[in-house]
Amino acid sequence: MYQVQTQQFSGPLEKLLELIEAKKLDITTISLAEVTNDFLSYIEILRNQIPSSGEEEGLSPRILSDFLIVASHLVLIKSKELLPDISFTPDEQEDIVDLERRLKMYSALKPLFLLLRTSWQTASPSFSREFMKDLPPIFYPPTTLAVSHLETALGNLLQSLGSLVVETEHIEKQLINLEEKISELSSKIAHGISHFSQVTSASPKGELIVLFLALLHLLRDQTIRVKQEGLFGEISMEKITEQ
Amino acid sequence: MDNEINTQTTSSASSHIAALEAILFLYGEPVSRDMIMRLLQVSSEQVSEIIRAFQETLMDSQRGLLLLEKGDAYMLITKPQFAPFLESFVKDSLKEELTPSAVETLSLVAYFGPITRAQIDYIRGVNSSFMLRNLLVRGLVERTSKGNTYLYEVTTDFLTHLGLARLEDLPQYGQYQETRKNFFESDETASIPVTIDSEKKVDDHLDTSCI
Repeated sequence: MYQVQTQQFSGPLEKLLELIEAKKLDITTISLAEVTNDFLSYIEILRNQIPSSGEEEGLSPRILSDFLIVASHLVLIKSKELLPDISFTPDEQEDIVDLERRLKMYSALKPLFLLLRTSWQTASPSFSREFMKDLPPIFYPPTTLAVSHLETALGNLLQSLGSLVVETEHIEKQLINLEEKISELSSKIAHGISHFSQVTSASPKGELIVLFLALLHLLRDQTIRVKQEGLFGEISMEKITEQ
Repeated sequence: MDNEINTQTTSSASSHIAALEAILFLYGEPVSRDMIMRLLQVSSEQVSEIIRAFQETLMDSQRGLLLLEKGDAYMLITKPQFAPFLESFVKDSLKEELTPSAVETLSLVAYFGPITRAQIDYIRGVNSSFMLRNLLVRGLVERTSKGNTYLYEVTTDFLTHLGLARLEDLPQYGQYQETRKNFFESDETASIPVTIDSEKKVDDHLDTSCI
């Protein structure tokens, strides 16, 4: 009953439409529930088919996922049919209405696809000339051009490149490695520094934040013990000696 | 003053038509309205007038050319009925067949363009980024950036391959505009693809990088 073309297979909407039309049904929620099983079996077939024919639309998991989204909506509809008491959330309700609407739209557009295919195969093309055909390539250097102009231009270019390089250095300064800071902090504590302000006194704001993160890491790893008296107070740190 | 301009227009109308023909012939690619205004030193209204008059002269069965209109640009092309004489020495690079998914995507871009990828995905129920990229590379589809998303439309190459002078000449174009209106401009349908749009440009970029 199911046919999977090996070269290209239908998309989920197309397949769904095919199943509904095969049963001579209209596009309604009820008919969607009716074809749910068929659709799920089709996915199963597709799943086995994909490795050999998955090049058509890109990656094969992507195609399968398009089908699974539609399948999830179908299962939802089916479950309502089996258990009339369950109620849908507004989102679920909208998804179902949306699926019906898209199916109808797809069904309305199918003749269009056929139309374009036929036109593509049968139309007589028009032709145009190529851009500026027959014109030889033109290069007119300005009459006043002198070597000094080139030199100035090159100088300007290098200058603008130079400002780019400065920019790069500026960014690099901002890079602070958390892991380095963790080991730095931990070794400082091991060497007897017990106040957080002693570590941070000369640091810019960015580094201070990373140091604080490092502190939290050490705290989490239970390598240090930390005490703070009140908000914004001094933080005292102490290494936990291993038993 | 007004009178003077008017009489000037009428007297120079035919020379403007001839000049436009020369420009379009040499240039080959679509020439924008702005460029015509600049080259011929005429107003936008005059360009429309010149174009209309030129189209009329081309309708003559003794003429072999057609004026292609796309957006605000114009290009000279051969009338499709002469394709049999021309195909022997000009290759139509688009001769290859289209796969079903290419047909679907291309139909939507042609009839409903400018259209976003989200809207195409929504209608097809399939992710179309791979197919759109494919059509972009084949020169059948082009995209323009709008806000944080891309709008896709067909190229002049697409039109010439079908022997069309303008998009509206696609078969049953008007009828499918109605279909579109019924689905896209009724109730909340229109808002659905648009809301998904915001993230799509990033998506399109990602796709570029993986190919």
